[in-house]
Amino acid sequence: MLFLLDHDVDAGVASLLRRAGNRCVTASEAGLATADDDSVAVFADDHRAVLITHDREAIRRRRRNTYGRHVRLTCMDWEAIAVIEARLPEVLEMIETRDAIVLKVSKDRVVPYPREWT
Amino acid sequence: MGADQDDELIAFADKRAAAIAGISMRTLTYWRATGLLRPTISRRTGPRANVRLYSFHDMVSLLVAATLRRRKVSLQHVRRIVSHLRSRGYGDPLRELRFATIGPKVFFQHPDGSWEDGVKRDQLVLQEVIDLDIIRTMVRAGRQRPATSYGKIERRRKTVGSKPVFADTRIPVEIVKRRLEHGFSAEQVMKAYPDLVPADIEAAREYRVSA
Repeated sequence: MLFLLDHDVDAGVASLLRRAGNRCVTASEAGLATADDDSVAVFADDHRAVLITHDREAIRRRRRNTYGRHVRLTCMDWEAIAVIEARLPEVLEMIETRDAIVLKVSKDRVVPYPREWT
Repeated sequence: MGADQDDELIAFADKRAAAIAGISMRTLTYWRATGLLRPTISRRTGPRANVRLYSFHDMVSLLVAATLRRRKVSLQHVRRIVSHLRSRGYGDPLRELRFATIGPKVFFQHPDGSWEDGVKRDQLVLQEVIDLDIIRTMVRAGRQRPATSYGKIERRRKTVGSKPVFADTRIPVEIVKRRLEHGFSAEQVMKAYPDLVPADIEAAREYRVSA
């Protein structure tokens, strides 16, 4: 699985994902540090990468116009490493078979949007 | 990940691509509109919104074209060469072949090492050949945050909800402010966000005071 980490996500999450056997690129490594939200989402979708972000606004737009796979971390930014470590198997299970989905991931749960997938 | 794999995961939005190539947005738009260089990723995301992303290979072609133009080769000539090479089976000639210029004349080297237009290897001096390794290095370096952005805060449309971010990043200032308020040190913040430098931490502290 390939993950694209938005610039607002703790760099430690990249190390964690790589240690878990995934490919991971940060927005900065991809050349997207100055890109707008849509560009980051399109890049992720084009590379079949899962975008991980804390940004509520970008995710709100994706829920209106859903393409690609997105994980929005609703925890505090310094809790991101622990939350991803705890929730990664659940996240992988939900996104593996879907082309377009938004997951809200917190310390306590993973909530998909749309809730029911046809 | 290896260097080649890393390169496959590089893309620049048009504004950044133009800045790296040292050309204006108007020139980039013209080259795209006339088919000289089209971005690999181009998608309509809304009624009036388009995303265009130049891949690593697009960027190599873009920098070669920009270098030829800086060496006073006319755009018409560049276009003719590209068209000629495409008709000979090169899909993306600006990045597949080596180019050299002597005055207004352009020469290109085929993969078998032969130079077209009758030039012999010993007739070309190093500075006349466009070095693709240097161009590839320039593209990779284009990902780095310019030092002129350090310590600056900006807002950009359609970026992180137009919240204040550190210049040339997508890192919201509020994230750093919050970490500092919760007792994280500047070093811990910079470890979590390696693109930030001490001037940014200072700017975040001051931003809290003036906000």
